[in-house]
Amino acid sequence: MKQLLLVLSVVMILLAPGVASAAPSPLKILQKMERKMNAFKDLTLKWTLRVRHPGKKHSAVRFTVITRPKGQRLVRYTYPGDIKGMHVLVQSRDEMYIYLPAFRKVRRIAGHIRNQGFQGSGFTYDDMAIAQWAVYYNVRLLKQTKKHWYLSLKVKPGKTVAWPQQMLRIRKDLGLMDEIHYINRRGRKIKTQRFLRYKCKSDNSHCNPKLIQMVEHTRGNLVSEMKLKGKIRYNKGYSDRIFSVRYLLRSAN
Amino acid sequence: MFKRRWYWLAIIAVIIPLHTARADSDDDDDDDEDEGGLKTALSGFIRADFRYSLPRMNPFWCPKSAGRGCVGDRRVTDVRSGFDRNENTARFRFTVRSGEYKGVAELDFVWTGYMRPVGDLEALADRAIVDPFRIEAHALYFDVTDFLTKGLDVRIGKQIVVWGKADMFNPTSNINPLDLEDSLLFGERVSNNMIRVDYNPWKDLIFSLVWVPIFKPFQLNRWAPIAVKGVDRIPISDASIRRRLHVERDYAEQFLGMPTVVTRAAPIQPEMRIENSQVAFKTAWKMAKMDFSVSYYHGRHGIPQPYLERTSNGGGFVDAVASLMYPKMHTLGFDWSGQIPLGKIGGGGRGIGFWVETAVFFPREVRMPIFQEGLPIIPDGEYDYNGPDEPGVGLPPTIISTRPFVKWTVGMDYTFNRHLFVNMQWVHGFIDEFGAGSFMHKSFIPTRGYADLDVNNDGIDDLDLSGFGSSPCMNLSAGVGDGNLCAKEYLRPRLGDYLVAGMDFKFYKGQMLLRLFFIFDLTGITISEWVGDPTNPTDGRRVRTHKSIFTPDGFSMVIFPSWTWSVGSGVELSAGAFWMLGRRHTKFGDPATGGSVVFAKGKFSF
Repeated sequence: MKQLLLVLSVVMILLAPGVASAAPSPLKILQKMERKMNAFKDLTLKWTLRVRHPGKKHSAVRFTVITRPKGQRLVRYTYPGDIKGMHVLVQSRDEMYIYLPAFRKVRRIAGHIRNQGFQGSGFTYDDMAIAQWAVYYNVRLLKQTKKHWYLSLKVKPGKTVAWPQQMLRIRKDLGLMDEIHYINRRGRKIKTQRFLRYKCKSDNSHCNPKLIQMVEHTRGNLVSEMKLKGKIRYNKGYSDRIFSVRYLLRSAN
Repeated sequence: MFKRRWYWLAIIAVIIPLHTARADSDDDDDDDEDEGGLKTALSGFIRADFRYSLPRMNPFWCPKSAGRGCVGDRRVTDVRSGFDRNENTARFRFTVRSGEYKGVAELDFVWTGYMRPVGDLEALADRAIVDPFRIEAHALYFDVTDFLTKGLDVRIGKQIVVWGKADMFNPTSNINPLDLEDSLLFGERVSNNMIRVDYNPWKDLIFSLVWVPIFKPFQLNRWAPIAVKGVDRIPISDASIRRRLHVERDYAEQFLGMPTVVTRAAPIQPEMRIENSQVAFKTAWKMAKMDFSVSYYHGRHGIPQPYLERTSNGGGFVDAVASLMYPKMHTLGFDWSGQIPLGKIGGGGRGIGFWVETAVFFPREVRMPIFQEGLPIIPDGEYDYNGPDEPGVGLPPTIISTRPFVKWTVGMDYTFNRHLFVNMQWVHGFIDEFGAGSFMHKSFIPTRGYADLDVNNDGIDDLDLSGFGSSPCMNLSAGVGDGNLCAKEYLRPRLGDYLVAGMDFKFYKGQMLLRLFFIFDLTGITISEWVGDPTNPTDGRRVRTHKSIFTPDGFSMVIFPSWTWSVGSGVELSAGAFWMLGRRHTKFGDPATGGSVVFAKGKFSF
């Protein structure tokens, strides 16, 4: 009997660390993160974008983004003057429209523009639009540390995305990512995106980074930064209607 | 007049400081459309624009071998070298919102930078002559959104409505006239007073209705009268009448010493009556992630067409006075845009953008009676269109037939990487082209016509235009020329085909843009002439020879290279050239286009 108790004690001691470090399934981590990222009816953020070219004065671009959880976005540029008044509407991954004040009309933009950097930065419309990963990627837990989970994402067969592989580093305390590595088809890391200075709602149901950095490794580690300006505005009551071509015309023209 | 202009400036001067105090707060509140209160916004730019006209940049006009002369033994005297533009423009767009209401005023104040012609010394005391400026209003309207019912918007006032999915070449967009005053701002439109109603009942289904009470024509460039004054280029469909006119005109010039001069070409504005107003309707929707729309327009073509010509003896010349009108038309339009997915090619998630825009035009017939008075040989009264062998004068020649015609633009664009963007379009029917006649339905108009007496193109005249002797070119007793035998014409279809392509190359941290844009005329030129045996020149036949785009006669294109440097904070510097190539009888070699220019611009947007 004593021997049995001893064996059980040893087994429990051996198992204990394993139980303490057992992670939820990577898919659940990802889905939980997506839920938290999209825990709003609509979200309005004002950003200032700067590209930090070495030895050069950083010119700023300012814009407002209204987002819905399904990935619909309305981007309104407010500075500098040569792009002021330009509006971009993202209805879905395949439906994007731009209003250019100089031409006074709404023009559809095809997918070829989606993964090009805008305003000379490393940020693309795809980077801004994607708030869902589980639908497009198979996920695997690479490793975990005391503070982070590291998830490896590979595109699902039949799905078309800009980046076939991504590596997400997710903060355990928030359940939100603080770093993404964008990896091309050949397995080469092209860009790293960092989400810094999270600010959370009082009930912790949603957090938003106040600073987002994009490091482009193919451009000599050039850093583009989006800094949050002003308040984070939740649930102002924007309906689906404002994410329409009609609204774009009405608002912009 | 002078005082009134400064009164406007005074208003703007008051508006700007008023706004400046509010501008900072506007940026913070610009997403608060759903909240009440008065909100204002100001934007605009200040631009300096210098251009230099260089007609000799077109080697097809003035080859070195021609010395100072040019193709066709003509000299380039109508388009001269020199400063073409020296403008400064200030644009202010002022918006006021109050709940569901919005008012917009967008005005350009343009200082032309050169003096108006001075008649006497007193004129130098008039600032409006010494330092002239003009005001252009691109928008002066107010909006009511969700009027009476949700999704119903009404906009009233001076505005611009652009329809169609294509870039710049929009055959379905006929509501506002094109502003062709500045060739570098190709595709700009002139605003007009109208009422626009849009109803968006469900998702992206939109119904639009536009009513324009008073028609406004295209704003033409200052070279356009050259086209009207080219008497050999009247777009008469009936070849036999057209050819006779070439022979008779050249006979008058060569043997009577009376060249034909268009002393006046008067466009007649439609009467300001309800039946002359324009109306347009459009339905737009989305299906299978693609955008579609169908539209209808009833109105007029914005470029005037001749409908009456009176010729008289001007004392040493044939004085031709032409009356011009804007032909009525109905237009049915359709457009479609979307993307062609490329799958995993190019990194995945990409697609080529495409658009198709087409319009079927149903024009009202335009005929042009010709009357003459006091001319030698040719009797007074109406021109004898069917010749002396037929009784009566016959029907006046057709300028625009009732036959429906189609114009279209098909295009695609693609971004290869962060540096390179390409846009290509096939345009069937240029903006100024109107009427049935294309590669499908052959109907030509002349770009050049004259009496040609050389039947085998050996440089030696074989026929005699004088009307004496054996030549049948002119029947002096009837005053009728034989155009079939003696006229040579350069012809092109009424609707040409063009490849419009542009390439953007961005570099230097995305701040520098090199743009190479060109328009290539794919139509070519058809030469119609009598070919015969020089020993018996009347023994032969009339031959049409097509000169392809790769021959000096058929080649015509625009090359528009430009360089733009976005310095930052809304400052842009740019320079480039607008290079028109082709002989005078071609689309872009035509002096009426204004010829080639080089330019430099600076712009600060706010």
